[in-house]
Parts: sequence; C-alpha cells; structure tokens
Amino acid sequence: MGDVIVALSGVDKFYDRRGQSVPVLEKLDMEVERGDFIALMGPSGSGKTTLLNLVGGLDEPSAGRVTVLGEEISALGARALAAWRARHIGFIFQFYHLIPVLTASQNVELPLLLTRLRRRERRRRAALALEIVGLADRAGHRPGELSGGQQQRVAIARAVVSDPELLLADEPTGDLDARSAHDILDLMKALHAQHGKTILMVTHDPRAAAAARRVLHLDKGVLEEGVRAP
Amino acid sequence: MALPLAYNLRSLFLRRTATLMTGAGIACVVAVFISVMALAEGFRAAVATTGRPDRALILRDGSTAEINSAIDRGAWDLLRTLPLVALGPAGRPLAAADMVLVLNHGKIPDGTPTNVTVRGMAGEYRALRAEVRLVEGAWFTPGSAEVMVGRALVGRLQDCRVGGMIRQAGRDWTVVGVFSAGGSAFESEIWGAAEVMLDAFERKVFQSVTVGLRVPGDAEALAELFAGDVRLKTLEGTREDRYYEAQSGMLTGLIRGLGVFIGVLMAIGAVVGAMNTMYAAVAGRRREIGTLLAMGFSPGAIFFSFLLESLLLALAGSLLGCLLSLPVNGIATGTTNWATFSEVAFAFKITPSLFLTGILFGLVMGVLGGALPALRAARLPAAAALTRL
Amino acid sequence: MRYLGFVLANLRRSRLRTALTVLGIAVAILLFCSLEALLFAFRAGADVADASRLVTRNKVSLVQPLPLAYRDRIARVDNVKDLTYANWFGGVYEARREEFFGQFAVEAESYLRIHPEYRLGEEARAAFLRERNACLLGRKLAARLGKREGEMLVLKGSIFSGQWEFVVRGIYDGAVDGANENQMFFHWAYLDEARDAARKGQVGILITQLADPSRAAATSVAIDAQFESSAAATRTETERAYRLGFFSMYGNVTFLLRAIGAAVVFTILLVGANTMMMSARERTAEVGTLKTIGFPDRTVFLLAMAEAALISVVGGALGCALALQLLGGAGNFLGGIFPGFRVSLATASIGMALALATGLLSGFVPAWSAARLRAADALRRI
Repeated sequence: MGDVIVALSGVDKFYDRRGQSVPVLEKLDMEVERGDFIALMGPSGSGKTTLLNLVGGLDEPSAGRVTVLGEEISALGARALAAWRARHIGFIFQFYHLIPVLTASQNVELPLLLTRLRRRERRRRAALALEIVGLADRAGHRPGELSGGQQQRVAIARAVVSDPELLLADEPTGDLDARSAHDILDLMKALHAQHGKTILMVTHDPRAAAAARRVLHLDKGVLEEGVRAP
Repeated sequence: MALPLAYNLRSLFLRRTATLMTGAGIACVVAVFISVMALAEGFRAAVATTGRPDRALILRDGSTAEINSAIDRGAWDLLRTLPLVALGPAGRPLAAADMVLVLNHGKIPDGTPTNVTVRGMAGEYRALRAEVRLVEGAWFTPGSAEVMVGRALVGRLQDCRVGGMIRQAGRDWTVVGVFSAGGSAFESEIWGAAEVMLDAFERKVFQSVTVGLRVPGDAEALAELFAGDVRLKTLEGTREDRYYEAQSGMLTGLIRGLGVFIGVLMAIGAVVGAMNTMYAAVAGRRREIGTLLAMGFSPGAIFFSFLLESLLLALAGSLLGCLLSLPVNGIATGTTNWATFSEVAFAFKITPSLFLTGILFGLVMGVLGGALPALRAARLPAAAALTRL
Repeated sequence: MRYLGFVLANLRRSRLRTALTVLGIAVAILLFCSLEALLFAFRAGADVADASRLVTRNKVSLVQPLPLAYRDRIARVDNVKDLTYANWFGGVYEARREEFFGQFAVEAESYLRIHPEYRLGEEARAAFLRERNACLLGRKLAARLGKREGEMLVLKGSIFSGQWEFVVRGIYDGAVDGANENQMFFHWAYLDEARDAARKGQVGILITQLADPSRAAATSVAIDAQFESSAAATRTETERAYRLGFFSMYGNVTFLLRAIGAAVVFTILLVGANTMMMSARERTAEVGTLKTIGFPDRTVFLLAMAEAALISVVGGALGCALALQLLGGAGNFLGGIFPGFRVSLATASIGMALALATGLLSGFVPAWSAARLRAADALRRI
C-alpha cells in the first residue's frame, strides 16, 4: 500500500440528452492507493458506472484529469488507450459478457490474443487463470452450459489472465443468488489479499460492500467516505 | 383467436432495416423477372399479331418461311379463283401475291449492315391488309420504283423516311410513305410493287399468296382443301395468325425460358434473405411468442401470424418490383427473327397479367422464406416466455 | 492467424444462417457465371474463326445465292491459296423437330482441307468422300440425335423441298476448343443434281484460304472488285467478321445480359449486407466486451470484415464449382443453338472475385459501425 495509482482531479462529466446538457459528475476528486479494495455505492443514476468507465478509460471526462498508474489516460488517443487497457485493467461485469460461441478456456484466452504470446503459452496461462477461480474442469464448456456463478468466475479468470494491476468490477454479484455471490466475493477477496490486486467495485449489495476494505458513496456527484445504513 | 394484423405491421416496422433490405431483394427479383418476360412478350406481340384469323397464308409445301417458298404465276391465277376467297369492296377477289426478299442495308447511325424484309405486292393488297394505315406520305404507285417503309424502320434504317432514296439492285427506290400495321412485324418491312421488284431482283416467282377468307371458319378446312385438290398439291395453306404465332414461338420460348431460369436462381437468393430475416425475427421475439402462447393463442395462430408477416413483406417487395420494372415498358429494341432472317423491331411490353405473375412469384418467395421460420415460432414452448434472453 | 478460431466460432453461432447465406451467394454466382457463359457462347464462333479465311457471299443478302462459276475467278485472285464453297440447307429432322442444327452442302474434299478444325478418321473420310449421299455429323450432334455411323438420316427440306436421305459415314471431332460439333455436312453435288434446272450451279457462300493472312483486307476488296458489275455482286469479309455479324443480329443482348448480371450482383449485396447487419446488431454487447478487454478498433473492424469475406468466398467457391460442374462440359441442352456455351475457368475466376468484392462491400458498414462503437455505449445497450 502507499502510492496512489488512481487519481481523478476536477473531473466533470456531462451527457447530451436531446440538446440538453445533463451533469453526472461535477468537479470530482478521487484517489485510490495500490492494493486497495474499494466498494463504490450510491443510488441509481448517481454516476457510479460512469466513474468506473472513466477510471478504465472507456469514457473521457468533459473536464478534468484522470491519471491511472502514472498515465494521464484522459489525454491518450483511442489506439493507445486500448493497448493500455489491455495491459493494465481487468473488467468484471454484472452480466458477465462472455462470448457465447467460445468455450470457457477460449473466453479466458481472449485478452492474450492481443499479446505476442504463442499459442502454447496462451493456453497455459488461461488454464492457470481457470485454476485460480476453481473452474479448471469446465474449461471446454460454453457459457450456455454454465451456471451464473460459474460464468462470473470465468469472467473473472478472463479479467486476471493478463495479470493487470487494477480490477474494475461493475455489480459483480448483481445477478447471482446468495450462495454464488458469496463464492464470488471470496474469490475477489483472495485476489486482493493473495495476489495483490487493486480492486474498485461498484455495488448495491451490502454484503459486497462488507467484503471490501473501504467504502465510498457517490450521491448527486458528491463522493463521501464511510457506510450509510442500508 | 387470431393475432391482429397490426402486430405484424408493427414488427416489420420495428426491424426497418432488415425489412427494407429483404423487401428490396424480392423487388429486384420480381423486377428482373417481369422485364425479361416483357421482352419475350414484346417480341411475341410484334410477330404474332402480324397475322389475322380471317386471312390464310399460302406457301409452297414444306416451306417453313416465306423466303423459302416459291409460287408461280399459274398457281397465283388459280388461287385467286378459289371459292373460299372473299370478295373485296370492288368486287375483285381479296388476294395478294407477295415477292419476299431479305436485303442487307445499313443501320443508323453507323451503317452497320442488317437484314430487312422487302415485300413486293401484287393484287388487292390494300383492301386485304386493311389494318395498314398511312402515317405519312402515300402508298407506292404500282409499276413504279416507289416504296413505302414501316414506321419501325424510321430512325433505325438508313434512308427510310419520306423522300429518302434506297439504292439496291442497281436502282434507286424512292420512299414515298410511312405506314403502320397495328404494331406488327409488317412495320419492320419495306413494301413496293411486285412487278417492278421481280424484274429488278431477277426473280420469276412469288414467295407467298395471302387471301381473305369468305368464311373465317374455312381456315380449319384449309389442309383438306389443299390436300384434296390435285392442282394445289404443291401448296400449303395456313391460317395467317397461326403461322405467325408459330414463327414467333421459338425465340419467345427461348427468352421466356431464360427469364424463368434467371428468375428461379435469383429467387433462391431472395428466399435465403427472407429466411434469414424471419429466423432472426423469431429468435428476437422468443419472449413475446412465449407470452402469447401463455396467454392462450394457439400455435397455429402463431404460425399463421409469422407466415402472414413474411407474405406482407413479400407483397410489398413485389409491388415495389412491379414499380421498378415499369420504366422498361415501351423501350424499343430489335432482334433477328430466325424464321425470316430479317430484323424485327419491337418494344418491351408489360401487361397486367405479367404484373400478376410477378406478384404471385413474389408471394411464393414469401411463403418459401417464411414457412420454416413460422414453423419454428409455432413450436416454441410457452416456457420461452420465462427464459432469460 | 490467431484470430481464425474466433472468426470461425462466430460463423458457427447460427449454422443455419451461415449456411443459408452461403447458399444464397452460391446461387447468385452460379447465375452470374451462366450469364457470362451465354455471352461467351454468343461470341464463340467469332473467337474461334480462323484468321486466314475469308467468306464471300451475295452482297444483297445472305439469302441470295452466287453462281458456282465465280469459283474460277476468285481462285485466280492474288493471295488466294485454296477455295471451297457451301450452301445452307436448312431442313428439318422430323424425328426430333425441336433439335436445331446447321446443315451444309459442301464441296467435301476442299472443305475438309480448309477446315482442319474438324478432325476425322481416315476411314471415315474415305467413306464420306466415296458415297454420293454420305454425310458427316459432329460428335455432339450425333449424340443428341442418337445416330451412329452407317445409320440413315432423313431430312425434310424446307428451302429445297422434299425428303432427303443421307447415310452417316463419319463423326467428326472439334480439334480446337470451341469448334462447332453441332453441324451436319453433306455433298453439294448431291444437292445440286436434285435441283431443277433454274436453280442449278448455285452456292450460298464461297470460302477462301489465304496464303498471307495479314493481307486479308486487301484480298477481300480484290475479290469483290471482280464481281462489282456482275449480276450478283459479292461481299467478302474475314470469317470472324462474318460470324460476328450473326451475333449482332440478336440485338443488344450484351447490354441485356450485363444489366441482368448487375441486378444479380446487387441482390447478392443486399442478401449479404442484410445478414451481416443482423449479426452485427445482435453482437453489440460482444463488441463492447472486446473493446473493454483492449481490442483496438482496427482489429474489431478486421475481424468483422474477415467474417464477411469468409462467407462470401465460400459461397463464391461453391457457386463457381456448381457452375463448372453443371455447365462446364455440357453445352448440350443449348448446344444446338449456342455451340460453345460453357463456363470457362476465366468466367469462374471473375465469379470468385465478384463474390469476394461483394462480401467485403456488404460487410463494410457493419464492420465500420463496430469499429466506431464506444465500449461504454455498447455495454449500456443491453
């Protein structure tokens, strides 16, 4: 822990809805330290996902600076941003977003196609990632043949296969039953504690918030520390 | 319970792009099909309408075309006196003897040679061919080197206009008139006086004799008459319209065959497009279908609904295709009639029945494209309503 | 090609859709190849025409004959190495009325000499030359009529009336690609002796073989000059020009067939584009995922184009294969009217190229949209 790897300063974000400018984030400042595990909570529409997208370089701020891992990503071009993202960020989504026609192992291998690694090495790393999430025996199955919890684990394996420093998760347990949610959160805690990943997680789920180390609240564009009563 | 039409229309509208593209595909196929058939129909109309059911064309036995035939003066004199020949307004037999020849003459604009039929006429040709009208100028004077040209030749063949001079067989033939003949193949011919032409082209016999029948029904008895009379044994008479109908047959059949071949193959492409679209529609609406089934609509109703949607799409496409083919109607073109070896000018001809055929064709495509997807839709279990997409 | 697996997996997503699209493209390419083959057939006679031969006919009309006596005067023209003559017979084979084929009364020995593209066995040639009423059939024609050597062939004359009996004494093969094997030849003398006095000694065309083909134009003029003021003036042209004259008789067929071809191609475009767009729309979220993982826009674009290209190449190959198989050798059912109707390798290649081009074109818009899609928007859409 210690150094700041994510820094947002003076970030504004507006959306254009039929000619009108709707502010989502205004003059936002945020810092995330290496090795942190943060739960970002708040009411619907408060801009949590937007914030996540900004950190992951999926979106650019209307004003202000976003610096992640020493790189001012708000100033990068699209091509460079994609390459940067492939190397440093792993995304986890509420609805998994696996490619249905590919097997679990092929899905996990996907980010590695962007590297120079040869096929044997890619397969090895994918297998390794699947082992970490405990699904080595399902490598040849398609998403349609897996349960929700299993699909999310494959998604997590995909997120970590290229060994990124930062994991961004958007409602990872939102679509899961209590048991699966529990497994996923355990997995994430393990990734954080044993593998040193920095995790920024958007969630509605109080149990998920409990798994994190820090909780931030976003409401009407204002970021606050601490937990509110559910 | 049947599903409301509005449901289908709305669905088609929601998937606008796919609907549009599939409809456009069907429109293309229908348009091409109608156009090629219009070509065949135009040719058929030009040639087949040349003959009349109340006239008989007499040729030498075994000749398949006028240019292959030969009828001497003796036969001509005899034929005029046959009882089945009607009498013209002046009391003379309604009969004409033609010398028919195929000439090489230059086309407009560059003089590329083409073949044109020249007909030298003797007898009561004006009264016999009553459908012929003067568009400009006058009829040729018998015994002179005057000729008149069919209106289809004006602007297509060199020198074919009133005042023009056609040089052939070492003589100058003056064009004194332009005639029309009901859009038939006669309009692609040059007409003149038989005696003068026989002399100029060093011919001694006519090629054909045409007579008006006193009793139109006598046409059926022609074969018997000619077989039974020893003086007429070397000749053969056919009802004129049937003769020309047969003549146009081969090329018309060929063009129609081409049209069907092209149409069917193109249709496969369009049906494939329709199937893809409909399958995607079914897949995209699984939840809807499951819900409808849960509500109590029968699988049969679902089937018909999707089939109907496909048909609506096909109908719209067909109508568009008919519209697209319209500009083709009336475009003038020409080709060589193999039977007479000379060029016949005609125009693309779209008829209401052709439109109907095109629309039917389109609907068939719609059925083929929509049947299997509709079947799949009808077979979905109601549980599809509860399935997460 | 590390991404090949991914592209193939996407095509397997809906096997039915992929199969249907491939089929649609294949059929369209088949049609295109057929139309091109038809055009090729129309010109075939002209392309095979020997460059060293001239055809002389009556200037007024092909239907008018020329006196045989012209033969001697033509033979004396400079550059004329050899000469033969022929008459179009134009009869009907009544047993198979619908089979149309060319029948020619020729001066046998010189005709075969001047036309080395008709290959005949020694024995057959001798038998043919020996008998007065012998005839030769091309191999394709013999097959269609079901006639063998030694069998009788009866034609009903229409220009030359009556029943004409022949004995098949030889079956010739075309020695070059495109040579017409749908013709029947018999002896001019046999025709002439049966004609009435007024029409004896007449031929339809005279064919000359030149010693020096490069002087064809000058020689044509020289031959025509011989007969300028005669009763029957002549018109001499190269054999190629003569055959092309028949082609132009059909009117603007080239334009018609090309226009139809264009419509066919346009329809493929629609079918292909429709499929690509539907697939693309269903995969918006996936595109978003790929971009989130870090796939650059360009790769996403290329993957989509690769998919389109693959479908159209497979469809095109299938269509060309079908065309070559169904129409490659057999011009038979249209052989009587269009000798030389076949799909050549060149046509098939054009068909393939066309398939690929339309595939790339129809895949372009969806691929471009996918490339421009922002991950955040894509993921938001579900």
